[in-house]
Amino acid sequence: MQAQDVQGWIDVVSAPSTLPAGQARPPSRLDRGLLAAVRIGLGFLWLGGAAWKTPPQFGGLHDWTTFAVTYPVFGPWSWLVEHLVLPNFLIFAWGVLLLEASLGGFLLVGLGTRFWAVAGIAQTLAITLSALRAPNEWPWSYFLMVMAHFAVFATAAGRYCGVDGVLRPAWQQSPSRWARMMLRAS
Amino acid sequence: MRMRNRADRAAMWLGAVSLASLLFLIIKRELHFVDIPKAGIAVAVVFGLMAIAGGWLANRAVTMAAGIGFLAAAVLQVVLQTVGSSYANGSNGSTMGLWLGLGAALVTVGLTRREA
Repeated sequence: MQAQDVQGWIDVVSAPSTLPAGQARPPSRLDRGLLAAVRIGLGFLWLGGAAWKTPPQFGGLHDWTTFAVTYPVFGPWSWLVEHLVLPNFLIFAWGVLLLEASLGGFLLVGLGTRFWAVAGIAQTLAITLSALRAPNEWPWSYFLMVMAHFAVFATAAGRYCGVDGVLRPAWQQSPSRWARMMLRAS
Repeated sequence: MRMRNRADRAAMWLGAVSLASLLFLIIKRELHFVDIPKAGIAVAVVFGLMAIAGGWLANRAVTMAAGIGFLAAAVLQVVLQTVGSSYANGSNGSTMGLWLGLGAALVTVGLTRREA
């Protein structure tokens, strides 16, 4: 690859975020509705995931967690699961239940959406590193999950038919730390 | 009565979402949306109607109370499921997540200044 090729790619990646006049396309009502549908769909996905994390024993989750050791995807992750997660399984399991239920609830209503999109990416990566090589798994289901969260993060999808979109004007006017935090999270 | 603004209308929508969640009583569980237990009907109706009333009356205290009610129901669901209570039959983490989201959203609406 020559120097001008590299410079060309840098120019593409670092192009200004505002498009020239005539190329900018504000989201239509259909676009906004579709982005809300992606966000709400992801919310239901996580709620469905939280549904089978059943306290107090979390039996199904324990089986899935051991996949990281039985069918290793990434050595250091398998080591972490074997030596840190499984010996403290119940603490970990409660954390997973709370995280996935929160992901579902917050993405569904569109509150703090960009923060929860990042949390969703992190949790999807954790699941991927544990279950990617398990029998009968479809790897693209995990890749698609990550990409859907990318879309929700990049478009700040909570601003469309979500609580973020309703409350951001008030947060922008407020000098409080809480409001600034919510502005960043949304 | 105060003028309703966007945040009050959002509270009404969130209440309507709670009432609409009762549809999951008849949607097949194999579709993996949200499981609503029979004991949860009261939660969905009472706090859903409270949220609608809070938005309709532009009364943030009522909206907050509805949100706190949903959050308390979410905590109660997971406690009852953990101790194996029959009241938790037909509920799970999806129920908890739904009520957690509705509760957090209504409390946030209630805490936000009226200029919204």
